[in-house]
Amino acid sequence: MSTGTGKGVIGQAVKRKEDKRLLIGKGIFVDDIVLPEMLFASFVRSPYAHARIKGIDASGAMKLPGVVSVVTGEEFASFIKPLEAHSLLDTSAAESLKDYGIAVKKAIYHGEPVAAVVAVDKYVAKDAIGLVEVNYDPLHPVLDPEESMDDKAVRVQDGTPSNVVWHRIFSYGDLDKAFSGADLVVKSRLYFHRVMTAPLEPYAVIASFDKGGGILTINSNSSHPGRDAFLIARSLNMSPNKVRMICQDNGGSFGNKNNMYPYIMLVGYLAMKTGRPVKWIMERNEHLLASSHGNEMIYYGEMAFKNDGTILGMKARMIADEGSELRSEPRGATNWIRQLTSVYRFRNIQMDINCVLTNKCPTASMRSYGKQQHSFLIESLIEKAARQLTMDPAKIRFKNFILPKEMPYKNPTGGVYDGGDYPTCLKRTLKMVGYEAWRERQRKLREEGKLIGIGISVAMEAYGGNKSQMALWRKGLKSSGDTGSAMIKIDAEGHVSASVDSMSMGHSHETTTAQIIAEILTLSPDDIDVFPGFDSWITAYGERGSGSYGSRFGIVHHGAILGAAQKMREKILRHGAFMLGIPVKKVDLVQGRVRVKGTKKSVGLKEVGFNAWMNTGVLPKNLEAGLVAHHVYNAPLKPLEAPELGRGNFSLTYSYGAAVAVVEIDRETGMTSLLKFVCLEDPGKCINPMVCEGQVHGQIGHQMSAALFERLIYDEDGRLLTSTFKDYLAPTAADLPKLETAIMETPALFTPLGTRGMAEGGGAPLVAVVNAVRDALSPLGIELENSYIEPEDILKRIRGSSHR
Amino acid sequence: MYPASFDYFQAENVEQASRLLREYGEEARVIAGGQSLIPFMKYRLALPKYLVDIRGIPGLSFIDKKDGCVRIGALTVHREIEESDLIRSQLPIMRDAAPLIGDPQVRNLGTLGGALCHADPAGDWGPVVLALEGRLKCVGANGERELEAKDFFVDAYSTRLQPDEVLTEVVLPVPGAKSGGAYLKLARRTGDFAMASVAVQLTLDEAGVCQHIGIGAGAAGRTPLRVPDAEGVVRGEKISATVLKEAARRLSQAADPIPDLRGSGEYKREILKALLQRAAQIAASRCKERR
Repeated sequence: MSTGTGKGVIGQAVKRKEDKRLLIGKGIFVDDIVLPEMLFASFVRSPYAHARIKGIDASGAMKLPGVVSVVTGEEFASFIKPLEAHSLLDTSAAESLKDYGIAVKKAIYHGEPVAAVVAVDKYVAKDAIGLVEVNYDPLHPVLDPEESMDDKAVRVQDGTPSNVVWHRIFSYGDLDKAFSGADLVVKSRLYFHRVMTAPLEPYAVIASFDKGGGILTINSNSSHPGRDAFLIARSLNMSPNKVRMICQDNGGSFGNKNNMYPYIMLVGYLAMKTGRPVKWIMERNEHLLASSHGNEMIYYGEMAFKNDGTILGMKARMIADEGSELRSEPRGATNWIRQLTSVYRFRNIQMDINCVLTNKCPTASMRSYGKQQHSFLIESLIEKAARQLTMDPAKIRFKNFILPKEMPYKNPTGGVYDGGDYPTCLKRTLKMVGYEAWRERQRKLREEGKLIGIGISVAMEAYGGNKSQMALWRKGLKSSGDTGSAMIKIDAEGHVSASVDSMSMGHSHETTTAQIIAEILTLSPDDIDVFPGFDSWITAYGERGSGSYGSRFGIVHHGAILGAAQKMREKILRHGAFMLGIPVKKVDLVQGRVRVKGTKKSVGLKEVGFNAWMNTGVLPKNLEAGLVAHHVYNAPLKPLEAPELGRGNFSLTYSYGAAVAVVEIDRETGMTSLLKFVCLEDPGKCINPMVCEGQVHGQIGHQMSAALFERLIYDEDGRLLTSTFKDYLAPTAADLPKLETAIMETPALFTPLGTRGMAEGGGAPLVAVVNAVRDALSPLGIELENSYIEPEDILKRIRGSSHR
Repeated sequence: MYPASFDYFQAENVEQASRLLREYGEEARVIAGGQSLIPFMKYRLALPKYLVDIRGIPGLSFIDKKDGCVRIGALTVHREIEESDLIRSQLPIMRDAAPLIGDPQVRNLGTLGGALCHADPAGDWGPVVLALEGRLKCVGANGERELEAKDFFVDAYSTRLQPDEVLTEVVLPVPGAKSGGAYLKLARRTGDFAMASVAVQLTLDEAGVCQHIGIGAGAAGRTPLRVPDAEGVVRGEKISATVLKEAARRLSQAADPIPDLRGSGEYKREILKALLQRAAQIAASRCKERR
């Protein structure tokens, strides 16, 4: 029955299993689902960044025909417990932070939900929003994180001892020695701007409550359904088993949909209250205002060098503008710890971390979460040093790379780098771009007065996060490791199906899952049906981490799929051998048939499946009936080595990549154009090269546009000005450069398949663009310290330069 | 993004459209391609109670040439202008502008007339029609009249159309054989609204002296801007960096761009200067090509 042999399926550019249904418009997205008696919700949102809510009058809205219910923040708060996320902290502030996902008595960011309207259709719900009268008493908004740190600053959340909700200094090595012995110390105040992911599909939820069984069913496009079930259940006072999380097709997340649980909880309550299914589809402006933003950070960074470019050490004070709530934070503010020295060999480093609340949208995960910010810090300081030492920016990096012969390399926190070849990675990238030729061209064009810049960035991206990181935030928390879970079933007719405790958002999980199983079971990927989503009642998930984030699929889930496939292979062989009446060691699996070694005698999966399920009366006691294999992959990670020192291995794999951008800046308009863009990444063993390449394309699109296009702008009153796609400059395909990408495969040392996780890029594309602009402007003596390239700002600096 | 409720009429002819507009007055809006109005309605920035759809009116979508003028029906979509051979040969400046409008979907539905009547200060057709000294034919209860493009725009999103009038046709005099035009726009993204834009149509004599020039600027104020002051500097002169620099200065003086997230007024003035000089150079080189 098999159309393939499985041989070499891993590593092939197999076409995507999920494409057909998506291309013919038959994917099942949340908004495609219509349930009987379904109602629609919409949220009244605060027009103020900071305001006391003195009263809410819903009587006008309730008079509108079709309005079923108006629920205020106070009503929600009387029913739900605050969300748990910040109970993960052990600071005194954590006690006073109360996140209901909706404003209660006080609104703390522009766009924060204040009340919910439930109506018979989305138009009535929207009309009713305008009829809910909220009496606000505006308060002074705290917008600048540095001002917010002041003891006298107005508190973002009532009752907190300080707006600095988490602070810790981490030191490794000997800073004094590094800096006192330095030939050069470069210093910068660097600013990483507020940006977000703007997936095509904003948040979407349908909640329905079965009063009989006490089951709350959630259809959503969450990418973190495992954790959501736990958080929501806790706040709604239920068992997580009674919160059934179903996710299928998803219009993109890039980290953003890890953070929709507050909304899922609110819509869940609306369904429980009304007794009818409630659909909520977030609108675009709501998504820009009040989903989750990426980490906005200020760094006061210093790096010490020898004259030959050797990095001796780095000190940085980070001020993380967390917005008004801690949701996934302080993960982003501490994710640097997973890769603190990046691909470089220096060992003296100090990070002073300050997590600060402001009256802005909460920040949370965004592709390369907290890590692209860290790359920006390191790569900016290196770039500045190269200029001051008049060293080629490629050369200074080669000087500092950890070398392949040093692998596995233990970095100063105890992170164990799992192989890789950083010098070759940069060498290949420079070759692809034609680096020397571009430098030559740059020299000539500069003589003609053109502003041409070549920007290099090398970045690390640690994947497969160790839950030990949480023990940094809450002392004594006994959490560590990471797992993935997969289940394979073969039915009574020999059909193979699989499910994984993850959630695909365009990652091609169905395709790569089928490839791994096909290889082990000697089948074709076409023979394997992969459940296209997550259903907490069907998917064998156990841990709160279940879901798709941090590029963990290629690590823990591939491990789980491989383990389950190996278990299944063993079961098939044992059942087949029993049917053939010979010992299991005398059979083999070939093209999905159990064959007596050295003969043509065999039984197929169809017969094996039938016998295992439908003829169980003949099975011996030691042969388990049926063909089901489940595997939980337990990543080989350990708890913290030294919690007080912040020491441990915080990731299983350490991916890396390089990007080079060539830009030209128009002297008269300040506009930057990309002339060339090259990106290379090492994902370890590549399951499907086409999928890997596509992921790198996405990474480039996201990060180069963060540098050139996308920025969230608040005005002085804390109102978000970029709340539509007219002003939030999400690019289109036409704005991307010609994509020149490559993959290099250096197997990861600690994963079963040698995979390393991929796609987030560690910020390399962003930093390459910024460094290219820096390089272009360097003859004018201009230093750029922001991650965002603003044409007007560039023109002003060009005009203001004394080197013109 | 859900609009408020509204009543919808499909007009069968201009007279009926005009009648409906008169009946419902300020509460009614004409819809053609809907590429600006529908987003406005979805954001509830526009709340018309009545929509009068004129797309079904026959005879308003055409491009032809008569009496030395190219005439374009108001319902002609941007894509047709972009692909028209007549436009390419007679009014190449329009061929510059058309592909810069929105994206292919927008250009397949959005209309020339709709864009002009929407009167977005950063719209692309306004400056072009001004530089070409176009006329706009409007039909209402009191019959038909022609407005000069320079008199058409009143304010941001506001025109001289009477409440019961429908724009039916745009009439564009074809410049002589020794004329060249160019439209340049600076935008943050492909297809985005202009940060600034400049249209220049100029005619040079054998000696390269400018006989005639029309300059239109977009995102240069609350309406598309015709800049006689800058035109005066160039007319009668040979095209030179000095002349164009002075024209650019005059344009930046005349301009009063609306500051927004894409830049301050001061910045947009700087861009306008650069664009005018570049567009005029291209226009001049096209004059030579045509000779």
